[in-house]
Amino acid sequence: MSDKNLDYKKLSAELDEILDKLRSGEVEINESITLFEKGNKIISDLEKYLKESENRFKKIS
Amino acid sequence: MDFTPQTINVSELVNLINQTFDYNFGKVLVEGELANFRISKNQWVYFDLKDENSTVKFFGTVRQIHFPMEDGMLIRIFSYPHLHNNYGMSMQVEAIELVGEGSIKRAALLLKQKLDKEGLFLAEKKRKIPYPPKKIGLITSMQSAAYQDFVKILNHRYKGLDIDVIDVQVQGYLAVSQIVNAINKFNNDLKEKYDCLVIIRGGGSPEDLAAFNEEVIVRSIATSRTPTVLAIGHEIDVSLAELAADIHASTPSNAAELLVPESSVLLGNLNTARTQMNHYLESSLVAYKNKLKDNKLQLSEYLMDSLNEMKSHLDNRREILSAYNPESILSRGFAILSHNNKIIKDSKDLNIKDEISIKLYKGKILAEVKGK
Repeated sequence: MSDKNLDYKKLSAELDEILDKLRSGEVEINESITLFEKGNKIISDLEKYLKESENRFKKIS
Repeated sequence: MDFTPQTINVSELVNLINQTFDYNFGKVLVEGELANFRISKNQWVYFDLKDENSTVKFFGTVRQIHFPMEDGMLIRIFSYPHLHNNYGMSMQVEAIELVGEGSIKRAALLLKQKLDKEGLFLAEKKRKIPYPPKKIGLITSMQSAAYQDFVKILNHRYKGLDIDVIDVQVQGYLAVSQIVNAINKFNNDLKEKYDCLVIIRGGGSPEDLAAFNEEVIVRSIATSRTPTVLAIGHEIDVSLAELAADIHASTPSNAAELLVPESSVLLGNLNTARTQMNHYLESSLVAYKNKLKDNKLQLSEYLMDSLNEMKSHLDNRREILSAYNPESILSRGFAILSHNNKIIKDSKDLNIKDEISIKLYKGKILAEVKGK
């Protein structure tokens, strides 16, 4: 089950930041690998969220 | 038996008549043309309602007026008759609504002019909504096709939203107060934080949509703390409520489209991101490897240079050293002369007949001093 508290917008922005850093080529190789691993984890989480979550409707009276 | 009417005073007469009205008459919906409209002391509203043959006086309060009124408009009034103890007979207003496209459009135009002056519809007042939002407050009639359309498109496009719905009437007398209460509830009463409020309603006649041109709703949307998305009716006639919203969608389905991206597009983007990331890391690794190679090359060049320098320095010293080697001097034809194992540098140190030893580059000879 995907994390219902996942903040898509925030994580998506984080992923963009990682891509920008990697694209710039200005990070050390150690950091590149850490960023790569982090980016892959975010992509997997976001994919899971998009595929598995549901819209929740609640009537307020 | 003779019937003798009981004498009553004037106040009793007023009460009697009003009681009779209440008991027998109830409340009526009456439609007619507005005439002699005036507001007194910013509080009381007086006007006549007329048709070709009759004119009747009405009395109400400014709080019952939700749209601009001017003589000639066609209106419908929920009211009851009342005899005032000083000012005579009039119909007491409970609620007023506009009738017919002409009156509705005229009232909307007048209200728009008024609110325009206050800057209620200015583009710079429009706020952005998080894309995609996480929590939505939805105000609509849950029985409507508009609601079904909105939910269908939303579910089709994106998952993971929290949508709290307040079910309201979207036309008729109760619509205005229910919608305004719902906006207030989402903004103030509920502890939740909403990314946006969405108000939707399907198409209808100008009268069906009239609530969304009422001042109280327009102001409530314009001052909502939470950003608003509105889709009311069709694209052709834009209500003032829509103009006051942060985002105005053409239809309820369009509202869903504007609110969230399509999951399939996002999944595609994520795939692209993964490919890009692999590519960037690969490039980084290649660049890093090349850099290492360069470093290695530089290092060996540096080492070679140092070695060469040391070698040439050494050669230089060797040459100097060899210049001082007596053997090397002898090789150039010089000789070392000694007498009694003492090297002779001055002829005064020798006498005639002294035996001397002469060391050559190669070999040694003995000789005798013959003269000086």
